[in-house]
Amino acid sequence: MTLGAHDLQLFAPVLILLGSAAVAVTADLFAEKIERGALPFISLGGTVAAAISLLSLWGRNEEAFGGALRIDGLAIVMGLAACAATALSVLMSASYVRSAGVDFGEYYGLMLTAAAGAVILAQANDLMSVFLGIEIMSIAVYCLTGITRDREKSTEAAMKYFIMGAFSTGFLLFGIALLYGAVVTTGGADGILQSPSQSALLRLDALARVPANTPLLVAGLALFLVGAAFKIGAVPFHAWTPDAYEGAPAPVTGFMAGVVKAGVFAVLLRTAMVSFPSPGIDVEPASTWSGALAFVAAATMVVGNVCALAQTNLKRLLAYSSIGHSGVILVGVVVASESQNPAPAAAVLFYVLAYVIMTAGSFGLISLLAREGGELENLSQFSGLAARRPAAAAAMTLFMASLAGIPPTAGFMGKFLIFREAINNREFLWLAITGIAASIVSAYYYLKIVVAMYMRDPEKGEEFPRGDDRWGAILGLALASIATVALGLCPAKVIDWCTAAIQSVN
Amino acid sequence: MRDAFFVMFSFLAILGGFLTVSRRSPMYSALSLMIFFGAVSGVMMILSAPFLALMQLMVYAGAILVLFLFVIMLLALREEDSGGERPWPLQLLAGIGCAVLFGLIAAAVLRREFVAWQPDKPGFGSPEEVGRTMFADFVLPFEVVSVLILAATMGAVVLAKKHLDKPEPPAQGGSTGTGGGH
Repeated sequence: MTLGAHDLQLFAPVLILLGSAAVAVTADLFAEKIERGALPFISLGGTVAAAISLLSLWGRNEEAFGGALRIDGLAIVMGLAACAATALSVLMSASYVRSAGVDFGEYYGLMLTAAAGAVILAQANDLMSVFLGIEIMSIAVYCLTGITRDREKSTEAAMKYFIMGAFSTGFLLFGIALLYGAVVTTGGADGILQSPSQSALLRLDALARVPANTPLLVAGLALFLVGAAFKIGAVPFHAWTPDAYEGAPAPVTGFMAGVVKAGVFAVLLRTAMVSFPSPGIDVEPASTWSGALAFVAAATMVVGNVCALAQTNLKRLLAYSSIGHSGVILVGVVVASESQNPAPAAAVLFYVLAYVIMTAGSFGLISLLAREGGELENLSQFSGLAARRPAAAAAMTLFMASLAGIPPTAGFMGKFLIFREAINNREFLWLAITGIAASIVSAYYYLKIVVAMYMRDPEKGEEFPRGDDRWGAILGLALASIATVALGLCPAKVIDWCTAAIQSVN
Repeated sequence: MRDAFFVMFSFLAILGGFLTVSRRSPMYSALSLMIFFGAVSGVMMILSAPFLALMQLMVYAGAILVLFLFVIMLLALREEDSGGERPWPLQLLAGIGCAVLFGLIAAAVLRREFVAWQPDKPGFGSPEEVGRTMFADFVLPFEVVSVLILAATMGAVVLAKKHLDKPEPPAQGGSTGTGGGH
């Protein structure tokens, strides 16, 4: 294998993110000379540059580094979703981290590194890149979770997340080893072993040639799925989610909800399409894969949304809601793996884009309302917000409506697309019904927040901090609100674009 | 002969692994882990991967285990600190999970999926060949690992050393200036 400018060009988005991470960390060393306030601009610039370089790769559909990465539409859209989450989170972070005393270069450096990990994941075409991408992203996110060291909750959350995450990585790696074993021991006859590069054995499409129901394949796949399900907070591996989401600083929570989902769902979608394409010769491994995923998806939607009902802490509530949304996206992945039509996979892309924006928005609002003593977390603290801060309450209502799937918002369009595909595929009608029922349940707790803001009186002595000088968060919220409405009102362009992205994968 | 060594090393590895999870004292657990690392290194040697075997011994048995022991000593962990019994439903669930996994892997072995494999290249497993593979076939993962380590280092430093410099109230003692911790 020879490397050339070609490989580096395709790898440019990751290099730009890592480069700006390095610049942010180094600039902090000269913080006394340069204002620390420059750090968000550096990070924002790096993220936007990475997004532009991703866009410039549109239509290339090439492999880089001997097939370790593949730059196609799926990689670009998911990479853009990760960049969008990062850019919005940087905007929301700027004033929050300054008041929390953690506006280090390392904060932005870790954020950009995690984003680079997610972009690697979006492009990952073999199991080795999948593993490395997940680890780079996760390690940076563990550290970000605990970055407000003086808050006990934050440290506790980071510790829990780290230990459980390391454990789940063990599962993922063991699964990868078994999958590799399945390819090596059964793929010999297919002539994969004769390929010039050792790394070809780890490629995702090599899995498609493993005969049906090979025990090694099933065991490897099960462990691989455990690892991936942990990262997206799918039931029954979701126990860490509420604690980590509650303990992490609000802008970090919004960041990790979006970026981690964009990265890991890119891998799941690619695996569904490339490794277990159902219309192939061997149907069996595909049905093992989608059967297992379908049950996980149903359980995730039900448990996430039902548990959210009982929450009184807004961040925990949104954590359970994010579990529920993972379930909905998983429905899309399941249907995509059983269909030759690009529509279900395109729906997944659309949903991830919408989810990233509305989550960044809702956690951004919590960041905006944060003050020296901490964040407004309890639902009761949001009582009467509409009377004091009408714009903030209106934005929150918009994001809640979008998360609940009420038209005309991005969230509605996303749910509509995914459930429509599930209904069209007769086999997964039950998943669609479960999902729609769970969404109706979810509307209750989202509306509870809206009711608190609009119809209750503020608690005694409750002061809503003014955030007028927090220009970053205000700009971020404005962008997120506009995008939420735009994706809901005129989604056709974006859907076409997602469909074209999916068509470029095969 | 080879088989005899394989049986011995794999038995030791299983024994070491079992002792690691079953000992109550963290110190004994860590020492049992050493048996495991040594035995796995022996298995690698049998599989004609001398370089990996050596690395396994140096990095895991040598460096990482010593690190474990130091941490256990510094924290002065005792048996009582290792946490109590887990509730039985959890134990049952964990048991079922392990049994299913074991069953799957045992099925793979019993159905003889593991074909006898011979090294196909001369010098397979030597430092030279490992290096060649690493820098040719796996050059991207090799480079990207450095980013992973950099992220971990950056996070460790920021979590352990940085002084938080809150705008108000003014930082007490230790922290000097805005740079803090450098």
